[in-house]
Amino acid sequence: MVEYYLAGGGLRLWQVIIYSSMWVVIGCLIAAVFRRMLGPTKLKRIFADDTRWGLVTGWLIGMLLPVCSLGVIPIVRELHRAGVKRGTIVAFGLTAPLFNPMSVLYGLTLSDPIAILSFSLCALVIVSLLGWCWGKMVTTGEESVPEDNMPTVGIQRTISVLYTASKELVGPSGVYIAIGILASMALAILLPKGYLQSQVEVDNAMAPVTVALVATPIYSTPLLAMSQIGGMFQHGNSIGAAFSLLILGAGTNIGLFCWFGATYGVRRVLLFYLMLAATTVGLAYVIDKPLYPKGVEPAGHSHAFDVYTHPFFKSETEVGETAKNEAQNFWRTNEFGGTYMLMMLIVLGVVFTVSERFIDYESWFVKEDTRDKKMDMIIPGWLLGVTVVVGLIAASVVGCYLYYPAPDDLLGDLSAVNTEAVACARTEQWEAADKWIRYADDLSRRLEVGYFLRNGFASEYQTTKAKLYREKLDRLKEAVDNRWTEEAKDWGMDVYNAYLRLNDSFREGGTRDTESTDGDSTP
Amino acid sequence: MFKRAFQHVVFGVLAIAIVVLPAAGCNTDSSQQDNGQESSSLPKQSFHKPDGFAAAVDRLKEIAAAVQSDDELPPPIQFKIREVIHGSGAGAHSHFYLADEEQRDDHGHTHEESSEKLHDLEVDVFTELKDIVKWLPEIAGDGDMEESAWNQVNEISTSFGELLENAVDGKSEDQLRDAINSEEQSINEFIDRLSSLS
Repeated sequence: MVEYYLAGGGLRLWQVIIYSSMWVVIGCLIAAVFRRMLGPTKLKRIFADDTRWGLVTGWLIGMLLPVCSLGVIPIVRELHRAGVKRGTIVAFGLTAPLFNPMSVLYGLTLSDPIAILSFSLCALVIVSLLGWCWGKMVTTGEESVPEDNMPTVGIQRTISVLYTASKELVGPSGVYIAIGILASMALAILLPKGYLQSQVEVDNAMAPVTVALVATPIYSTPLLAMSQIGGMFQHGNSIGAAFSLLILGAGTNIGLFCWFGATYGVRRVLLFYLMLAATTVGLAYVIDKPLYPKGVEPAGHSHAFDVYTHPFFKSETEVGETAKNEAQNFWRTNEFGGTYMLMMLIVLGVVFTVSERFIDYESWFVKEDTRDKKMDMIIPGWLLGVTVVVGLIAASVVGCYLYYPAPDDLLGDLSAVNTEAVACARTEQWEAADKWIRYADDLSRRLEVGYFLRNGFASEYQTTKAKLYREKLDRLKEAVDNRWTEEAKDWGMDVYNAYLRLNDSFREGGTRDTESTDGDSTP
Repeated sequence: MFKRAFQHVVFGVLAIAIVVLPAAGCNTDSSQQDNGQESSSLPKQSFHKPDGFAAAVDRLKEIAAAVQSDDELPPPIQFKIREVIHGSGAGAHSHFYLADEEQRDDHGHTHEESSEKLHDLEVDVFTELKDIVKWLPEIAGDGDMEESAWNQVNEISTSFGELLENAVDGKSEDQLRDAINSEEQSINEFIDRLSSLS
């Protein structure tokens, strides 16, 4: 039993750290840039703090910045420190983890665009309403930092950004982030494997409430949440439950609420949480039926919650070894450098913390540089601001094109992955087959987005081929999960043929690169 | 500073406990819980889905001919369904198979426990007609049909489906038959167009 909890908890902890590391690093760096390069006055101006547009600005900037519900913690702390209005902080803090350009694009291809746009608008309603209420409810708690504490332009300012980001990570923000991660892990080991699989059906009137009750400690990145919501649309699950999962699951976590509680008081935060949950559930019921996709039949289950529950059944044996293998696989497929950057920032933070007993960094940051600076160019603040905004948009666009490659390029990868999935299933290499099937499923979704990005549309013919391909993959996975040898062979060939049709539909004027495989030929 | 950090940690632990403890009862032994599937109704099944586009069109022709004739309607298709329930309580999920299929061997590598239930399922011709029409794009997409032809199938499926939806909504069997027969010409046109594409 101890092994069951240790292996399950360890695996989920590992996964959340890998998922969140890049977003946490970005969040710390953004917070440091806000403090050291912009300062409170400019920050308040950017967030339209003296106008009536503060809430909408917080929502818009939140949509733009690539952070998750953990990465947003250092940023909201910095906004609070700079004296940005409380309502704006709430609007930003709740929106940033929900959407970014990549996740919205992904979502547009997974379900009816109207549904995702409606989700975005409902999120705007929630953050505006709660931001406004929060601004009225809380009249204390703002801090303000004098503007004249800005570091000297040059190497001092650059190092001050690293100093602030790393110290934030090993300081209070790190504590709240750790609380968020631990809460997510704790929930995962308490919920049995497969929990809620059959309770988020469209005909279950309580589905949005049930999801709302368990979603808050969940940690999810915007992209992961969007893919799960897309899956719920495709499986014909409750749309209201999907909305609850987005707002309360991806948008919040316990760490964020702990910061709210420590800053504004526990009673206010409990009231705020009740308002958030009530508004979310209320809107979930409003959109539940109208947004239900036409022509989709309820699948009778959902896998949206699988990654938030215990990874193993109690009766499974050798879960320690399985967890170790799964952790290694997860690292190989999901680690893109974020964990290394996180570790480097932590080490840097520890070094700064220890060494500042002997070195007064704050004084050095603001010390006048007397060196000859004829060659230095002082960049005005407005140019920095414009560069940051344009850079973020450019980075988002480039990121989208990198994450969703051109269909011809991606089909090359998918061909190899599909072959591996089918071959492994047919030769009873079950663990490998499971891994390749998941990867093939993900690539087929990226194929649709990549095509949509470059052509402005994806035809119903193409989306149907992609959907059919994923259905065949799902069925093959069932055979793999149950170790059904004969079915794995037959259904593997179905997957292979469905892939060929998918390939044809997405390659412009393309032809099949192999002959029809109605027989028992091996791909 | 340390005092404040300590307060943060204590607050965090309490918050985790408050939110997570209510869920603590979830991961109990399955023997202590009711089986959540016992009272649930069957989700939509697709055992009557034709195997290929040509078969679907043939079946549509048969159903249309039967409904439009003066003979008695064919009896509902009956399926004996085996529901395999894995896990229990909120963690339970089901797989559905035809009972007369060769019993698959679940080696139990990934499932904690399983139980089985048998269900009788009847599909009348009107349900079958509506379902097949709705499934046409998917059935056609699961073959080598060209895109232009598939687009026509998709369009026919939408129009045909809307016609049926309006005709059969909340009516008795005789009323259904009359309603569908009143659209005989349109239905036959749809089926003829589908035949030309198969």
